[in-house]
Amino acid sequence: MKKINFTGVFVILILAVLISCVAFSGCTESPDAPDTSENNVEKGNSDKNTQQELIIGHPWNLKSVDPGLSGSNLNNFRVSEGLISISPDYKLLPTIADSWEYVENSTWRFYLNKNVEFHDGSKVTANDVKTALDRSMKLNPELQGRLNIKELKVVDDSTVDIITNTVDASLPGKMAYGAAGIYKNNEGPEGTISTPIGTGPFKFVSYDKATDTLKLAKNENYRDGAPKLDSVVIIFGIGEPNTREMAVEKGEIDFTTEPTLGSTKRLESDKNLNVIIHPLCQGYKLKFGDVSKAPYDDVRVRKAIAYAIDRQKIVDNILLGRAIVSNGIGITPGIEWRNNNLTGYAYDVQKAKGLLEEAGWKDTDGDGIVDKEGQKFKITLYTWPQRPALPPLAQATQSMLKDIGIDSEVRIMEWDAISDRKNEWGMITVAGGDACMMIPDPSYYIEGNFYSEKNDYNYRNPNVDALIMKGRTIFDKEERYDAYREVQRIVCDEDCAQVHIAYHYHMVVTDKNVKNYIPNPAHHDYSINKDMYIE
Amino acid sequence: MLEIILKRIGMFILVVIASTALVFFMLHSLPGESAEVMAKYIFLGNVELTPSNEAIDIIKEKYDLEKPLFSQYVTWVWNAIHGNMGTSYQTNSPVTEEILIRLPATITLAFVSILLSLLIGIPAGIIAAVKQNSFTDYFCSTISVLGISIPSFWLAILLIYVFSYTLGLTPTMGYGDFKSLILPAVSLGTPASAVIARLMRSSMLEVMRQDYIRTAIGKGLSYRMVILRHALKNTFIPVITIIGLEFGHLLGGTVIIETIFAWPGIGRLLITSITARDIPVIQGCIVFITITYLVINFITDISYSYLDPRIGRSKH
Repeated sequence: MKKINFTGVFVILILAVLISCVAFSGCTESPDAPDTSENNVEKGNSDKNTQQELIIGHPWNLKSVDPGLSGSNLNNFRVSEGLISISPDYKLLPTIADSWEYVENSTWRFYLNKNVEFHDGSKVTANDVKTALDRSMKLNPELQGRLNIKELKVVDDSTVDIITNTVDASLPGKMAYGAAGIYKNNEGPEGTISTPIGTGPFKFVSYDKATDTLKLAKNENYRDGAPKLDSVVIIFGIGEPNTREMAVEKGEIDFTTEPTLGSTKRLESDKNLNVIIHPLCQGYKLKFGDVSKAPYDDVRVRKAIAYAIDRQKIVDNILLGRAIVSNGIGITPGIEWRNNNLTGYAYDVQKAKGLLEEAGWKDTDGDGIVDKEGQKFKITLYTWPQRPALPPLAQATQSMLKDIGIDSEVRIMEWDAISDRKNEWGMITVAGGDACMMIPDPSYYIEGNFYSEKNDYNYRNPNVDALIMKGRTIFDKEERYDAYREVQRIVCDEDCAQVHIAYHYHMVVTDKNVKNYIPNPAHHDYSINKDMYIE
Repeated sequence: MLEIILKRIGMFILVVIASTALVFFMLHSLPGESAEVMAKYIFLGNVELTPSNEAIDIIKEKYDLEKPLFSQYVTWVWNAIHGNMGTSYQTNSPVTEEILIRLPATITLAFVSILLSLLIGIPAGIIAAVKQNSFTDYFCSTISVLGISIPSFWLAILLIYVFSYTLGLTPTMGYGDFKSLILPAVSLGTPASAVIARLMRSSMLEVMRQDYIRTAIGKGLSYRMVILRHALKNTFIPVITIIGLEFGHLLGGTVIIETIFAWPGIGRLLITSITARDIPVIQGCIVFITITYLVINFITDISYSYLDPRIGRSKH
């Protein structure tokens, strides 16, 4: 047989590949897209003292730069600011507003700082505040529902009145909500804003939608001094944690967040990286499907489950140190309105078994599973896959419940599919996230989780409702916080409405030359600041 | 020819209507209440938060979610016929714009991947067939079985580890220049090339057993000539079908690879829109993908009659 020479075919195909590559890369290159691949080559040597550029790899998508839709993102990346902001130690800080007071008849008055300027140099007036908030509420019904604002009234150039639908002591905290940022309304004819103008230390430069990349530059005229970084590039939508890890290890990006739990140790030992692990106002908990129905209508059953969880073991072996134990409630330690005197439910299997027996759940047939009136205690634990810690957490819970005679099955599915199963007998959601400072006011977490009209697992306690109502309508801070502390005592120590497991710690990985990152546990999940720089 | 084209266009419309209707009604049978899901994704940006009841009601009203499904669908079709594909719930920008800005990335990746797979798959298949039962054949076959069985996401992470992380030759992710195209294209092209190589080999073996090949060899043509002039064209008929399907698949988006490399393609757009119930964008993507498949099928059919004139003749 003769040998065949395929050189010709090869050459043609290779040429085709090359030509198409060149042709396409030529036509797809977008002027706004940062050339990340070029950057990384020089990055490794960190020999770029002329330009201070921080490149961030962000897990989620941005989708839009309209501050009416992406307010929280623009706030975290410090393009826009709110009337009020929240400090890392959970204090409300005057920002665009200098001060505020409750006047009367559901009216809050905000006095604006007269030195605040937009990026285009114009002063922020009461009218701008009204326009921005009105517009955001119109675009974002969720915000409208949360803010509970009836009307904004311009009193004079630097004073604005906010009138709420009902008397509402929580309004100042709501003004620190990322989505309630103040911006210049420069919307185009189609009703969207494509070049956001805020008041923060960083100015919008460009946004490339195809690559989901946002470019910012320093605001030279920022009222507290110009930022040290010249520019910030945020690459959104790098959903794969392994990709983010390798990109930061290789120096393609300088800053990223939430790598996989298993790589904490490896990243910490990398001399070229800084690993910052800090509390974030989120947690892990078990949420009963319906506390008004068997088996969870009996508080002893709920408490038995709370006692059965060995939280230390979970934190050490599953959350791998990126959390701390909590046997109380989902309000992060350090928050002013937290009740620090809760008894909680420290791990105690004997006590758990005793409570189950008291509630009538006994193992009558010797199969290791408790039963009552012919019904075996067989349940399903639901959780979702997006948070890597959740599936193993559910499995750990499963084995701990087994120890007190509760047989469970773990099922992992999409969040929305789980909410369809709330009526299943004995279902429990193993939940993560559970933000408690999205809006820095006690009403946010406490109403959402325990108020009869708002919680989604049928928890009803008239005393709790009354205290929540009180919290909404009294203006003395200590008295108000006391009401919320009492709610925490009732829902935790008396009613055991939910079983809290751990407080979440957030992980940021940066190039070792990135300095001055200040974690703010109240921000989701992180924010940059004007004092950051690259050494 | 004109008749075929007209027939095809009629089919286009039917298939597009059928597929969008199917997707539309299936979306509403997904778990979770649409308005609640939308409120979460669009306005909270976090699936783990619970939207307020007020927000859910406002969304229902704003997007006419209380209307009967059928009338919602008819409204969408009516607008689409008039060239209005709607605006994205999530970004407020027109659906056509959302798709068009992702088109270059999608096409580039699909094109380079398919070329790469042809470049590897076709020669490998031919060599394996020509040298049947030799070491080369076993080698190519083993490699192609591996290529089919290796999950592309694993291959992608492995490639990043070796070429970006360890050797530092390519960027780990991103989009915009030639270098960042290499790894995604290889991750996608490898499984496709394996499929093509296997098919090419079996098809080639089949053709080589035909009488006309024996005749060609008998009349004294060089072996190379026989393969290139007589066998190759006929071998391609089944292979071209697979190439068409693979190409359509690549154009329709490759979610996992796009996610790993942060590649801004249609696949990622479609998946994020499905999770957020961004119905106009989902429908837009479905229309795009359906049309792509139909066009590719059409081209495939035409190329059949070019490769084997008998096919064209018997058809009409």
